[in-house]
Amino acid sequence: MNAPTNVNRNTDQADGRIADPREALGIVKQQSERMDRLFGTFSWAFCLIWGVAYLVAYAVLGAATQAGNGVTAPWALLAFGGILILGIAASAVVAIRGGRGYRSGAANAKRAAIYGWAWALSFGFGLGGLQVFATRFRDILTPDAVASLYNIVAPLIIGALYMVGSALWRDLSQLVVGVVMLVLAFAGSFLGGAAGYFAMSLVGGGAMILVAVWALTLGRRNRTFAALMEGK
Amino acid sequence: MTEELDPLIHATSRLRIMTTLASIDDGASLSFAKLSDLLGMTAGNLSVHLTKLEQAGYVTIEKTFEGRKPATYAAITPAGRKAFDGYLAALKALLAPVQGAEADF
Repeated sequence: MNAPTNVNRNTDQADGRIADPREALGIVKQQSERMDRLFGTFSWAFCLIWGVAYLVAYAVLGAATQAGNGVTAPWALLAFGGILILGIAASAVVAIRGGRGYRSGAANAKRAAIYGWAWALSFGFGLGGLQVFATRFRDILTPDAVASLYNIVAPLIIGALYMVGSALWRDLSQLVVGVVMLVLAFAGSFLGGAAGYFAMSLVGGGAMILVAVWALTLGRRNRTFAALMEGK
Repeated sequence: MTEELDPLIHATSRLRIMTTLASIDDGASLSFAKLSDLLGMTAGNLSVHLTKLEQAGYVTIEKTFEGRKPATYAAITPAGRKAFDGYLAALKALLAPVQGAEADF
């Protein structure tokens, strides 16, 4: 095989000159893949944390609701909340550690802050409002109906925000999780309380764990998606 | 028609630096310590290569403070991104007749 001839064949290696362009290709590929794994927006670490959190938290709700014949015991709701708080704490640790030495551009920092607030306000007002609604109409809403409402609204918020995140950061993995969550939201209207919780646990949590594995092993696919979004 | 590979970028350490800085978002920057850690380069070696890239206008280096500690951040410039894109295009063109579809990154 004849090597390309229009490359500087300066044999002085003090400057680290690359003799073979194929070596350069290897360097770019290896470093790009490493950066994708480290700085991929929807990093494998967040996916894994929330995948495990949803898997466990919703399984607890499902099991407790099934054991309570459709009524979710207060301890299960507390456990659910506690696991989600642990997830938030773990995410914060990952974000702070991963962000050391990285300074975002001003535009991206503003975008990320607004996106973060979208999560906080959507869940705060959305689920808070749902709780008020369930309390106001507790005389006519069965526990099963309330559980179904939560299993529609929560994945609806999660799915919509992940799809927005996918558009903002041209991230294929967020798009996949977003669509799965929106389908779960629709499925929640057909499922009883316990079944809906188990669906969130296995399908929602499971999907995020699978995305984590994908992001870790094939993360550079995101660059292809970004290129596709730009029409390249 | 063949294109020359930019000799400033076509060196192991500087190619790794440019690839790393081109991988992060526009306007974003990495600290010297982070770069040194990511690339496994000594501070002295990294400093030499960053200076060469800065002199060519491919990167900007900003010295700042984080609390009371001095910190240095490096970012790719628009000219640097254009030069890097041109380098990748030239590399692909150079390798295309040899590797076919493999040069896809």
